[in-house]
Formats: sequence, structure tokens, C-alpha cells
Amino acid sequence: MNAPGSTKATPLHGIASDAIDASCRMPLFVLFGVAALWLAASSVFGLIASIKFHSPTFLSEAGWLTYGRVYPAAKSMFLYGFALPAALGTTLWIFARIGKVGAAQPFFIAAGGALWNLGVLAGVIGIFAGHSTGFENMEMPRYAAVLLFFGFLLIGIWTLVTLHERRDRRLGVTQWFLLAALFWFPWIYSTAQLLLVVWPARGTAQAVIHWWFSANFTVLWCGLAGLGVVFYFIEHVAGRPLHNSPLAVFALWTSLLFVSWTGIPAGAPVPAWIPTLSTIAGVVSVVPLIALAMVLVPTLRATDVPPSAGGEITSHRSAWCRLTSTVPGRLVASGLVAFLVAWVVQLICAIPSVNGFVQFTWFTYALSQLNLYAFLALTLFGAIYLIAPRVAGMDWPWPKVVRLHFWLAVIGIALIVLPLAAGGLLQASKFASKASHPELSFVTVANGTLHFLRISSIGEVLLLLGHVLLAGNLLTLMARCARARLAAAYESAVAEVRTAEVKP
Amino acid sequence: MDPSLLNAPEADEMEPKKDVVPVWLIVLMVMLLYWGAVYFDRQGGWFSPQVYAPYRNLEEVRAYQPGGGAGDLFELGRSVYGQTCVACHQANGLGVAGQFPPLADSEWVNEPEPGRLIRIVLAGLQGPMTVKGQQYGAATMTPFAPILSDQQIAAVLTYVRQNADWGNKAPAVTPEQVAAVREKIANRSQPFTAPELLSISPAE
Repeated sequence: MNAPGSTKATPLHGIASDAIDASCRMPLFVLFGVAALWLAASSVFGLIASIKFHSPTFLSEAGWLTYGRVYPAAKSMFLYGFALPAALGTTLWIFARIGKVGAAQPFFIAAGGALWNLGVLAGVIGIFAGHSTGFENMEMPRYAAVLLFFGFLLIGIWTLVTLHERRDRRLGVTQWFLLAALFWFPWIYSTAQLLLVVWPARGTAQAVIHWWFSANFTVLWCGLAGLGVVFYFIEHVAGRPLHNSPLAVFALWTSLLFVSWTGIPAGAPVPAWIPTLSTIAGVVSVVPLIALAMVLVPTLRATDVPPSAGGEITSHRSAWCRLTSTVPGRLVASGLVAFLVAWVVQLICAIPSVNGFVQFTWFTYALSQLNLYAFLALTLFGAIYLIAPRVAGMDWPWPKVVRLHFWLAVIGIALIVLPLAAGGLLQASKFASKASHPELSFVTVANGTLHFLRISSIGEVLLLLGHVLLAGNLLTLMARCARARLAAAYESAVAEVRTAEVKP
Repeated sequence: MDPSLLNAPEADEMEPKKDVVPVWLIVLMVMLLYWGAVYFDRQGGWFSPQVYAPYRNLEEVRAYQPGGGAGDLFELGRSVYGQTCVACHQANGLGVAGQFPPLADSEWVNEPEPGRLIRIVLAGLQGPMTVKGQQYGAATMTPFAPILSDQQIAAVLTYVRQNADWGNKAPAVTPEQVAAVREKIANRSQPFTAPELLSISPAE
């Protein structure tokens, strides 16, 4: 079947892609389906937390609904309930598809997904009950972390085996990034969990470890996972080879080397050498950013398939046009833009004087939302909208709702990030002018951001609507797929009985 | 491995690889790392656990903060004097006529050995005494043994004895000297009197 001189269109010993999709069905239904529910729940509590900022008495009568519990719960649901499982499911499917091999042990991966979600449930209930660890981005208590660990182990091991068993032995940039993300999360989460919760480090070391974990999770892991998806879309959905693959791998290694040291603010109350190293690492991170830009910009601007790939010139549209011609691709492209903007802003914020200017304001929150939502979440939405119908073997129940969700998500996140960034800069300039305007008390300055917070609540409502649409669409798709498969199984069983009846 | 794979390389894999990491990017990275090393040398305090922002190195921290040593004993003494002694002996060290004897240019303060002075501070002083030819004794000196540490007493006496503004120029007092005297008079509950002090050698 693999005749010499065959073009690359023929898969090497490949199995049909719908068989690969079918092998991923059970694990992806568990990972994506529950992730969509967590996402909707996360935005409900995120909206409550957002409203509390301008209406403090809203839902304040019960302890579990106070800001200190609602906000960490919403963030944990987003990070651990939605982002991680969605990224893991996407990684599994991409490894299987590029490697032209079915998922290894789908049952164990699905069981791992169930265990993981049990851990998230225990963790969220723990946060509402007041058992939070008190460390941002890893508030879920110790008992939840144990479940998360074993869940991740099951998913991660069989995802790695899927990669190992790939029939197409080439390892592309997409796989490099996703593989790095797959290893990076367990390493940082288990280290932080052991050094902060199980055997807590003393003194300033705690703060340093926590900053290290937060930066590695919300910037580095998020960047690796999101970029992996972006590269998959460019290479395999828009069908364009990367302009310079070695440079992309160079960007991967330099980000692992430098970005992993960032995250400790310049004026942090810890021995000066730690924030100094972090500042240097932040500035040197310009190298992977330049490398990524040098890979992505020419790739996306290129209009023709390069002759070396042996392809016919079929289209004069640029890769960017191809990428944005579908809604999932448009989501990923928006995520990519957000990623580049976020990285540039992060670089500027690595400069100590800028860092001191914007610290303790809404600007840092806006930047983190740009990274976590506008980049990672939009990219993962793109992946889910691409993968789920293929895995289910049928189209979305409401295809137009997908387009509606795109607009809700983009406008919603813009209504959160832009006002809060503007409000944060206003806040920062008022803090900076405090010496010449002593009448500006902290409360006066904080009250000046109220209008921006009200606009961001509108953004949260739009995101919530989008999440409800996604969950409704996805769960209906899964239900229809299950019903169709049950009906088919019933039909074939009945047919067997009929032929058995006819024969004698 | 399937032999047909070895015989049938992909067309695009036969081409020499043109994609490389540009050299200038590596040069830029090395330059930034060099800048980082210089920046760390200036700002990082060389891993010292005592250097915090906004200080940049241990010398700066030492320059801005009182530490150990005799020179700093003088500064510590200034603050002890300001909290403990200034109410009676006054900021200028001249005291109040008839009540609180002066410390500035006083023969009691400028004795080469501090034994008597340490006793006065530790156990207090009452009764008449003559300082610079004037009679004092209407007030009683408080015993500070239970209030001030050896370090603080050594510091305040060093401050008083070495205060050039007051015309004093006597050797510094060490915490060890204070500790030795404190041990000798540990059982004493009464303040000293001037004749009793004069009967003790200042070196003891």
C-alpha cells in the first residue's frame, strides 16, 4: 500500500482518520463534556465575583458566597475544570491524528478524566467550605490534589503511549509544544503542592515558590498548550507548513529556559537577587518572542504553497485567510493575536519601573485575563469546535450558535480586558501622583475604577452566555451521537436476529 | 522498520535543510545574557540574604543601617540617651542647676576608667555630690539595671563619654565592662552615694 514515490497525501500505514476519531470518542466526551459544564459554572461564579466589586452587598449573607471563596472557586473551575482537561483532550486527539494511530487505552483515559473531575469537584467544594490552601491559582485543598494527581497520571501516561505508538514517526513542532505542556504541568503542580502544602517551606521561600508556580502555570504552561493548538491549526487545518520549524523548536527551548524564571515582581519583599534574576529572565524572554514572530508572521503571510512541498498552487489566499475562513480557525487566530499582545505587554512589564507602576492595580488582572482567556480559552474553544463534531461523527446541532459564541467570546473578553487595563493605568497614575496629591486616598483611587468594573461585569455576562451556548451545543451533540450509536447497535442486533430467524 | 520506508524518502526530505536559527538571534541572546550578568552584578546583591530592594548590595545596606562595632555603639547610645536620659540631663548634656548634674565636660564622665559611671547607671545615685565645683543632690538617679541591657548601657556611656559637642573625650565603654560590674554589684539594692563611689577604684 506504500508504493515507492508515493506522494505525502498517502498516510504511512495509516488507519482511516474516522477510526482514529472513534478511538478518542469516549475520553474526549468525558474531558470536553465536563469541561464545558465547569466552564459555565466558572463564569456564573466569576460574574458573582465581578458584581461584588461594585455592589458589595450582593449575595453577601452566606459565608460560602463571599468574594474570598467565590473568586478562587471560579478561577479553579476555569483552570482545573476547563482549561486543563480541554487541553489534555486536545493533546490526545492531536497526537492520535498526527501520529495516525488510535488512542491507547481510551477506557483508562476516560477513567482518568472522571478521576480528575472528581478531584475538581472535591477541590471546589473544599474552597466553598473554606479549606482553600490560600495560594492563588492552586487554592484546591490537599485531598483534591491527590485525586487530580492520579487522574492526570492516567490521562498523561496513555497520551504519552499514544504518542510513542505513532505510525508516522516524524515529530513536528505541534507535538513538541504539546509534549512540553504535558510534562510541565505535573512538574510545577506537584513541586508547588509538596513545597507549599505538604511540607511547607518557611519564610520568603513560600512566596517565591508560589510566584514561580503561578508564572509557570498561567504564562508558560498556558503558552505551550495554546501554541501547540495554534501550530496544529496552521499546519494541519490551514494546511501550511511552518516557515522555519527549527526556529520554532528554538523558541520552545528558550521559553522553557527563560520564561520559567519570570514572575517575581521587581519590588518583591524577598532578597534582591531573586527579583533581579526574574527581571533579567523577563527581558531575555524577548528572544523566544522574536523567534515565534519570525516563524508565525511569514507563515501566515505566505500566499502560495512552497514548491519544495511538492504541492500544486491551488490557492492564492494567504495562510491567515485560510485560517480565519472557519469559525474554529477564527477563534484560534484571535487567541494568537491575544497571545502576541500579552507577551509584548509582559515584556514591557518586566522592566522594574513599569512593574512598580502597574503593580497592585487592575492592569495586572487585565493582563492575566488576556493570557488565560483571550489566548488560551479562545484557542481551546477553537480546538473543541474543530474536534468534537469529528469525534462524534456528526455536525453541531446548531452550527450558527458556534458563530454566535465566537462573537460573544471576543466582545465579552474585550469588554473585560480593555476597560480593566485602562482603569488599571488610571489607578496606577493616581497612585504614582500621590506625593503631589495627598488628598487622593486609597479608597478614592479604588472608587475611580468602579465604572470600568461595571463594564467588565457586562463582559462577564456575555462570556457566560457564550459558555451556556457551548455547553448546550456540545452536550446535545454528545447525546445525539450516543442515541445514534445506540440505535445503530439496536438495528444490527435486530438484523442479526432476523437473519437467524429467516435461515432455518 | 519497513524497508520500503528506507527506500522511499519523501521528496521534500531530500532537499538540504535551509531553515536554521538566524545567527543574529543567538548573538542577541548572548548580548542580553551579558547585559543580565552586568545587571545582576549591580542590582542582585550577589545572593546575599540580607540585601532587599531598594538596596543593591551589602555595602549599601551597611551604609544605611546601624550594625555592630564601636562606631555604631555611639549611634545606638544617641537613641538610648534620647529615650532615657534626656529628660533630666538635657539634650545639651548640661543638666539642671542644683538638681541634675551636667554630663558635658564633667570630671566624673571623663575618668579614663568607666567603673564608677557604670555603677551610677546600674544602681543609681543619691545624696549630695560635687560636679565641676557645683553642689547637686536634690534629685535621685534612677537605677537602670533592670531596664537597660549591657549593650544599651555601654552604648549610652560611649555616647556620653565620646560626645565631642559636649567637650567630652574619654574611651568607649564595652558591653563586657558593663557585664562585669553588673555581676559584682548583683546583690545591691540601694543606690550608691558619692563618698561610697569615690572609695571604689574606677578601674574595678
